[in-house]
Formats: sequence, C-alpha cells, structure tokens
Amino acid sequence: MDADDSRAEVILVVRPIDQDPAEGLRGLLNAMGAAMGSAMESAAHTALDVVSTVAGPPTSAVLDRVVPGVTDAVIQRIDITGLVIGRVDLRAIVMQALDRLDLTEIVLQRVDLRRVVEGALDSIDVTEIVLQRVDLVAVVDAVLDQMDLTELVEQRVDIDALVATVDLEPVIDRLPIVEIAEYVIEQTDLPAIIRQSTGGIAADAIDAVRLRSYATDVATARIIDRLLPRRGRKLDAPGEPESLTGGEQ
Amino acid sequence: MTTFSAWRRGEAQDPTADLTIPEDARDFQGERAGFATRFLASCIDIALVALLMMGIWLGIEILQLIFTPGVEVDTPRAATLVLWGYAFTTLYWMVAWATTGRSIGAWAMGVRVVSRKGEKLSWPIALARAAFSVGFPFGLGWALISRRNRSVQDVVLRTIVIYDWSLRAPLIIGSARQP
Repeated sequence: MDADDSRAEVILVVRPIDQDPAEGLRGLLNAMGAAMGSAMESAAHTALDVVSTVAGPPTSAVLDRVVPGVTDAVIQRIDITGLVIGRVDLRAIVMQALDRLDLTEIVLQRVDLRRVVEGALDSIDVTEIVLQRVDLVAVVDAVLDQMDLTELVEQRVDIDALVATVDLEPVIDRLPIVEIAEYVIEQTDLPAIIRQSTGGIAADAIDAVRLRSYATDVATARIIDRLLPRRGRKLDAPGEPESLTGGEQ
Repeated sequence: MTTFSAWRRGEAQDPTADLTIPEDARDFQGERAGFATRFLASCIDIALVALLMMGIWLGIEILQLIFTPGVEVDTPRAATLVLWGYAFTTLYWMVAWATTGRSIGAWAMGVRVVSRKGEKLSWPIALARAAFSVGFPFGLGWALISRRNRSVQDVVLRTIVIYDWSLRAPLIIGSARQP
C-alpha cells in the first residue's frame, strides 16, 4: 500500500429505514420523522462527501468521525415529530402523494382482496347488520316496482302444476253452490228451455192463448174505461207474488 | 249479462219472479183477471160439463141398448140434462175453488180464484160462489165495468180472480202467507 493508499474511502449508502409499518397519524408522523432524520443523515453524509472531495482525505476522515456523532446528538435534541407537525403542511404532502399515486391500482396489485373481504365477513354478522341498517320494505318495494310480477310468474311458474296441488274441496265448501245454480238457471232461462223441450206445441199453444186473452182483457178494459169517466183500473190484489213471498202487502 | 256478484247483490234480479212462467207473462201475475179471460175459462168449464153430460147421456143410451135390445129408449128431456148440468157444474166449481182455486178452464186460461186475503176459498164460500155463478152467470159481466175487474159474485162474496200461471197449489199460497 502506497501513500495514496493511506487515505480512507467513505461510501455513503442510503438505506430505507427498517421499521414496522406505521399505524395511524402517529405512525405517519413517526415515519415522516424517521424520513426527516434519514434525510438529515443523508444530507450530512453528502456534506461529508463534498468536504472530503474538496478538502482531501485527511479532512474527510475527520469528518467521518465527527459528523455521525453530531448528527446523532442533533437528532436526539430535536422533537422531530413535533417539528413535522408544526412546520410541515402534511395535508399538502398527503394530497400530492395521493395525486401521484394510483391507489386503486396499488390496492389491486398489492392487496389480497379476497382475504380482506373474507376476513371482514368472518368478523361481522352481515345478516344482523342488514336487518338493523337496511329498510328492507323500501328495498323490496323498489324491486317490485321495477318488476312485472305477473309476467314473471307466467314465464317462470308452472301454474298448472301448482293448481294440481291445490285441495279444492275447502274452496268448494265455501262456494254458495245453490246460489250459483240459481244464477245459472236464471241467466240461461232454463225453465224456458225445459218448457220448450218438454211442453211442446200444447204448452206453447196454451201460453199463446193465455197471452192473447190477457191482451184482450187489457184492450176491453181500455175501451170501457174510455167510455166511463175514470182513469184506468186498480188491478193489484192480495195473493199476487209480492204478497205471497212475504213482501209488501 | 248480469255477473254473479251483481246478481247476488240483487241487481237485475226479481226475487218474486216465477221462472216457470214465460217472461212475457211475469209482469201481470197476481193482477185481477179481466172479463175476457174469465169468460173463456167459464166457457171451457161449461163446455167440459156439457160434454160430460152428453157422455153420461150417451152412456145411458148405450147401456140400455146393450141390456134391453129392441126396447124403445126414452130420450132424456133437455131440461133434465140442463138441471143435472147445473148441479154438476156447481159441484165441480165448488170442489175446484175450495181445493186448488181453479177449475180446468181456469187452469187453461191461467187464472185462480182466491179470497180477499189471497187465500184459497173456504168450502161454504166456494159452494156459494159456485151456485151463484151457475144461477146468475151474467154476474160476470160486471167485471167489464168494475174498476177492480170484480164480477157480481166477487162483490157479494168478496172473492178475487187473479192471473196465476204458476203451478203453486193454494195450500202453498196459504202457508206462504203464514208468518
């Protein structure tokens, strides 16, 4: 080793701080403090490097011994966290950082979302939360408003199969069968059909004669009433259907 | 067409309508019958009785012819037949009016004889009316003039003749009026 070899070389290596992930604002501040310390240390090393370059190896060797100690002493005497909180516009830094970062991309690449979601679902009772926090009636109403239930049922439900499972007897028990029969008889004029099918010509002839006779009664009465000074006839009588059925007398 | 629910609420429904009666005739059921109808009913009854009397007369003639051949048969006098006819008609109408309220002629013309309360006639009233009708048939002519279509017999015995095409028996009429 010659004389030139006697000079010492100082190699500055900037390393990331090996520290546990920060938690919350305190963690952020600690991280920033550490970053500041690291920056100061890095600046000191840079200054030392500059001095050693300018002043030569001997001076540089001195500085190698002095600067770390001074730096440690300075760092120990400064409340870096307080300094950062008081002097640094953290909001601006964070906002700038967020502006420059694509957080979504980072999360998608770096985070195991499946594990996160599963962990979250394991730790919470989703059903309970939904029951407490969600207006289920409003949700169902909104869903029903958007759906055509009739069409849905027509398309998706086998109505014939459904009806085949229905026990119809209780339904029939509740139906007014007699009234329905009377209704059908009246609407179809079943008695007229029976008269026409069973009475035949004789019944028709009797009905025709009776009707003709009634018309003659009315016409005769009208003629007589015209000859006599009076207004029509009073032909209501007890025994007419209304009184027979217990109605008006 | 009336729906079942509307029909059940009583809309377009006449609870008194007798479905066995043609629709055209339902409106005047229970009204006091007029002269023409009653006259025709009486004519039918009288014709039936006359036929019956003729039948009886013929029957007598045939029986006599069979059992006493060669014997001259005395023809019954017309007055006798008429008297028998009157008697039979009285009996026939009495039974008819006191039981069903109508004779064959009345059934054919769709009329019924009832009391002033709408019930069937009692036997004495039925007998009185039958005898009165046979003895004074012209009493029916008052129905032409009467404002309530009443014959003299109706006025005197307070009876009513109504249109009634239904097949209900007077007994049912009477029981239907019970509370």
